[in-house]
Amino acid sequence: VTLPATFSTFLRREHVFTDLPAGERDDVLRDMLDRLVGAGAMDQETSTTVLRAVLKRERTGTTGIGRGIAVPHCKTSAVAATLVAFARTTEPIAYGAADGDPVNSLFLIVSPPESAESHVEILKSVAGMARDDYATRVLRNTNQGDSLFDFFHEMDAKP
Amino acid sequence: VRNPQGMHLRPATEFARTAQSSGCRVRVSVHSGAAASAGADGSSVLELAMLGVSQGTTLRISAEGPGAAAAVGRLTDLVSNGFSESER
Repeated sequence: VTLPATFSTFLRREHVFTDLPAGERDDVLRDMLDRLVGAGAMDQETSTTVLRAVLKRERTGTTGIGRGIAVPHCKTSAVAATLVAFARTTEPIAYGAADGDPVNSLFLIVSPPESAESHVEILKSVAGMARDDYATRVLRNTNQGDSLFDFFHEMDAKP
Repeated sequence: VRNPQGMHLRPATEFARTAQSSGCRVRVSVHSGAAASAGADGSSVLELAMLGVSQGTTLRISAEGPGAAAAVGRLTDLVSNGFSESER
């Protein structure tokens, strides 16, 4: 039996960032990718490719799914395996989200082209948090990386 | 569900928008074998995303309200046309 892939399955502690300065959406996303380069998740060239693909995706329709959460994502052959990251901005930022609320929690999903199933499963686990009052409260009020990292595992372990 | 990526965010958004514009109360559930899932509000992107629908999944779509039959028809077309996504 293979357990379904969730957000926390793919998340590494060093890819949780809790203090991104608020700013324009594109700048915040660039900052997030730069930090992933700093954390050794990818090289500069890959991050440029990923940022371009993520912004292209945002232009086809916002990934702000509501309740302060956005799921910027892309598929690119620049990565060999699915990579996820979480970033929290110090202040909510304008994101054109579905419910009009500003966003402070960014769940980045970067997948290789042939990973259809896991993408939908990861999305499902993030959508579950957005639907959960307790989870959205935690995401709004917690800026401790360790706590958030544990929290994502706790949420994904819920039935 | 025919498109390789399943019902990811963009198809879910399109489905919810179509459901909203119908003015009907739309419910969507996943059929796996004999069991059906609890179901989602068809006009909610979040609820649709939470179904975790992959390629090959069978969905049950129901609508209530004026023009319900036409709404189900439009939504069914949307799904069976693979959300107009090109092969990727």
